Amino acid sequence: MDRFSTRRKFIATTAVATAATSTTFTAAAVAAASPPKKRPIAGATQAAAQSGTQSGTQGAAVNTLTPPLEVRVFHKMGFGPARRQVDTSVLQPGSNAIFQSSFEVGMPALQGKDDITYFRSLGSNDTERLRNYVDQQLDPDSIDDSDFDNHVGRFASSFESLDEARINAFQNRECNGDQNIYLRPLRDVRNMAFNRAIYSKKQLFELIVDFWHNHFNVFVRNNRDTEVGWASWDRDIMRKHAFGNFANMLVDSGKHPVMLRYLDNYVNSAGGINENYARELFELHTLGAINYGGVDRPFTGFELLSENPYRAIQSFDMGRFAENGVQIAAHYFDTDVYTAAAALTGWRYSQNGSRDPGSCDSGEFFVELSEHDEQPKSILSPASNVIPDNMAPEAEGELVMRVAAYHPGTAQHIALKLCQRLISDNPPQSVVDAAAAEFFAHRESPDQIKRTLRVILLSSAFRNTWGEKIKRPFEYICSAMRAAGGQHVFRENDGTDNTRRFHWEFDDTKQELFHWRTPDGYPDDRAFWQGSTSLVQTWQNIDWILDREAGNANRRMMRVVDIMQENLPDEPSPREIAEFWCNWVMGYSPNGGWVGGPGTLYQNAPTQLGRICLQFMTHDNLPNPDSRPHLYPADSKITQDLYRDEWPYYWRRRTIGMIDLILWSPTFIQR
Amino acid sequence: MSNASDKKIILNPSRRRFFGQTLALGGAATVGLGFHPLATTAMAQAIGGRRKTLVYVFLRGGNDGLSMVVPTQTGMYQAAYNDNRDATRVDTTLTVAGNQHFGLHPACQGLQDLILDGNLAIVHGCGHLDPDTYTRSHFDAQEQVDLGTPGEQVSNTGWLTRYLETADDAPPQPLFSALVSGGNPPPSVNGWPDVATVDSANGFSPNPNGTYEEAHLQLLAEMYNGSGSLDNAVSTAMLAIEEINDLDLSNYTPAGNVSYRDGNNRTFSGVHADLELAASVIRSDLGVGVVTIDVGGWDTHNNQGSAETFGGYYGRIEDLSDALAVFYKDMVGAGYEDDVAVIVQTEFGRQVRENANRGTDHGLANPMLVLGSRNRIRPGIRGTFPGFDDTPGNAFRPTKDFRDIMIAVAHGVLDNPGWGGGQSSIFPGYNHGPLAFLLK
Repeated sequence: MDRFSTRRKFIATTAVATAATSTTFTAAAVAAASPPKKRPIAGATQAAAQSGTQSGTQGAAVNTLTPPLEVRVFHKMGFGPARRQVDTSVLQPGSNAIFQSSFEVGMPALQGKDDITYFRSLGSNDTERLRNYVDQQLDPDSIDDSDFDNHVGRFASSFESLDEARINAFQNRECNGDQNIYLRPLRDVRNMAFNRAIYSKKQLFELIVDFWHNHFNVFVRNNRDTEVGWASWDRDIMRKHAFGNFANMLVDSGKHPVMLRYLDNYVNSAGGINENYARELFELHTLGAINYGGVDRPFTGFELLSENPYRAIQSFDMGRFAENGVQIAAHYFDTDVYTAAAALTGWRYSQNGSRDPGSCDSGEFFVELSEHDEQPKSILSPASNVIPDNMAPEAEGELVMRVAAYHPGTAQHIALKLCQRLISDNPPQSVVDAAAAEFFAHRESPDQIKRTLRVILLSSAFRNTWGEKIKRPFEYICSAMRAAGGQHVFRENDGTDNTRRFHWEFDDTKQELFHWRTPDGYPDDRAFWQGSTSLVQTWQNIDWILDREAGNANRRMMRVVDIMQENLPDEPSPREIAEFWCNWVMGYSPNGGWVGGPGTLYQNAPTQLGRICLQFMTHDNLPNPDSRPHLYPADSKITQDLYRDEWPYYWRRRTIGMIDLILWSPTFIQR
Repeated sequence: MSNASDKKIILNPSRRRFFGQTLALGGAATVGLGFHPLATTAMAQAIGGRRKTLVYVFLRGGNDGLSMVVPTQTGMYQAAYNDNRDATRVDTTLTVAGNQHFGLHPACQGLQDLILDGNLAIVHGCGHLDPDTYTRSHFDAQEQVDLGTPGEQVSNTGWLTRYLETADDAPPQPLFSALVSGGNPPPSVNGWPDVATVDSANGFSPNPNGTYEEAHLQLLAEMYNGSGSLDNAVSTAMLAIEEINDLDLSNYTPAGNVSYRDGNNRTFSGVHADLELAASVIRSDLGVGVVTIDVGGWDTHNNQGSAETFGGYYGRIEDLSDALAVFYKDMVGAGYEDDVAVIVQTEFGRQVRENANRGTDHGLANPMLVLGSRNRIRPGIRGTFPGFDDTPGNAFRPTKDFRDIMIAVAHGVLDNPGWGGGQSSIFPGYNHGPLAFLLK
């Protein structure tokens, strides 16, 4: 049976090699060169996304509502909206405004404070607002991030390793047996990843940094060197290039001690080839498994690109790859992996005993000439010796990386993964193709990734879909903290012990940051995260952060009661509390509100979520483990102090239990 | 073939405590009841039921089969083996009756016991036979195995999903039919709706021991009472919460005079913990037809180790071997020998010649382990060893399609119907090879 007709859905029109006729690629050419072999199987249907359906796909839970664009955008472009204040002028005692969808419109005083209000201020219609928001997010240096600074600035000593030069990190930490020293970069990066995701306004940037960490995944505990190099890995590779140029990012990542170590290229030598890095370079980092041809490249009959993609490259000398008449394969084979491994031999980093014995080493990249394979080689081409003999080892390895990075298959692979991150497990091919074309056309641009993201974020597929993805635990926890008044700063010197305890709890969700062991990174499809373990442990984690030291104003992680007191009139009723929190967490109210106006029985609440919240607050017909009075009239003012968790109604505990339910609801878990 | 992703969980009131039970009992009546319908025997009997269970252990990363099933220093492969292996060479082996050419890694006492008991067959040379679809990629190779469709990795369903679809012994009301002992479901159960994943039996609840634990569970179930995949996932999670919290693993008593735990009541290893959970669930007769367990850490490019206890391999293979022996002796002792089978598999073997870093790189063929009833399987080392002479890309050439082993276990050991004329309903269109070498 023909391999290609079964193992991959190759498009029949894939061009067989012809003479190059132009130097630019069209979207169609990029797409045709690399049709995906397989798509992750997920509930969401492509047809639904293409036809403009907003939600309610097979994968979504049934009891979901489609929120307005501004809410969808914050969940899909980052870690959900952060609420800070609502318009109290409409919430005077006795006013029913809180039960109307209109109560949170027209709040000019809050612009710049509340994410939802801010988005609405960005233009006169959704198209304008979305474009303005996207462009702002793509220019993170222009964003005022004082809220983040205010949170984190107080604890500068807790993040001492983040700005440390790599050489200092290695020399100060690598040979120190104290784990408080050598694990500090990991801890600082991990704490700051949470702080930034929760408090920074540069939401898209943080989401994409997380994307790249997983794309170039390294298991941080692989080795002492990966641990001490972690701040540099995060800063000098992920953050430096997150919106930048992919090929530069790839080259820098391959020379970084963290990657050299994790994928064993640091021991790859002419006399003993170690293919680990070269394999993942093709399979995961660049062309991707969708462009894998098989074990042995046949002598004839394999597909070639219709144009040599390297002829147009200006900024790097592609050598023979750019010569007239040199043809380039459409897919990579294991032979390419082995040859690339040979081309990458001799790459080293200064580690203990390898270069300056007896001292603690610098982690700096260097080349061991005697261990480099000097033979001429060929990759991704039927032409022989496209890599000449005796190339300088560093240049030869970099050439291989750039050959992979500039290949149209890489454009298709990265575009697909970005679309899967931002839109759906099964994004429409049209948006993948458009993103791939942009990525390819700007292969040498310093803002290549930024441009690609812009194409995706301004596509109709991005704008019109909702609930195609489930939040992974990291996104889920951060969005919960943004939505429900998180105030905790994750940090090293944390007198509350909340940080250490939190990570201990969060690890149970199975997305401990930087701890995925294999180089493919945490999966991004919803089926993977719908397992009971992740669901239950993430829900438990949300309850834990809401509860943690809730009675101590200085130590609590979430400002639940504070927010109620700041935004609700004195002595609210259970109904008002339920309505308020539904709006606060969800970021909007549907027409008619969530729970229904005074007098509405919980059974008749206009939304299921409102009904459940009201039922919970009044405890009607719910299992109750003890004999405490559990019925309370929905419209009676609560005269007890909300801060104090007092008998018989325990309002603080009860309010937190209700917020749990809102955060656990089908609408909040999806993005 | 039917499409499992179209399947919906039937919202059977007696199966789901947070729908039917509470309403039937009435709100007030639940106070003081402990709200635990499953705690009563009558209800427990109505739910679940005994059935055959297939336990599928996947060694992620590519196990070096040549270090597990080792050429003996007195057998015909001695010279070739010693030529190719040095730092990773295993010089002493445990003997396997009837086989002078291969023995077991010295840490595999448990496997040796299982062979003596008649409950373990090790099959040489597994992989798949079409060179066009050989792969050295972890992810491609794992998918070939998990989906059971090498060469056609566009399948919607995992091979265990198709096993469950075609099994005919599901009780009328299984609690849940697939259990993943670990963090996240593997692709082998892709498309199956009621997969419970459990990694910790302690505090497995959204609000464990909280004031509102029961109210929360009821309202969560109501919020997810639809028929989307997330609804199914959540309702299965609800059932898992309920069941797992009733298991009380720390007081689980294995049969067969074995133990998963040390003197301090801690499980010996992660594999022991996973198999203890599996044993406990199987012996609770909940109607679980498939249990999957992933074991990582087999990608030994560096410092693999040998017969000595240094290096990573020794401890890993010892834990695996011992845990498998404990588990199967527990099953035999409890009277489940004819109802439980285990397949242990990895995505590929490793290369014949070790690399320069005292490790081994990705290869092809590799042994599979089959644990099953002594009435059904032929114990010992089975299959055809590929030999050192014809090794494509420095790898052992597969001699036996891994689907043949899956078919033998599914139909020949566990009586899954839909097998005949050399075809299995689990692998439509695939013509399997002879199975008599493995089955009695």
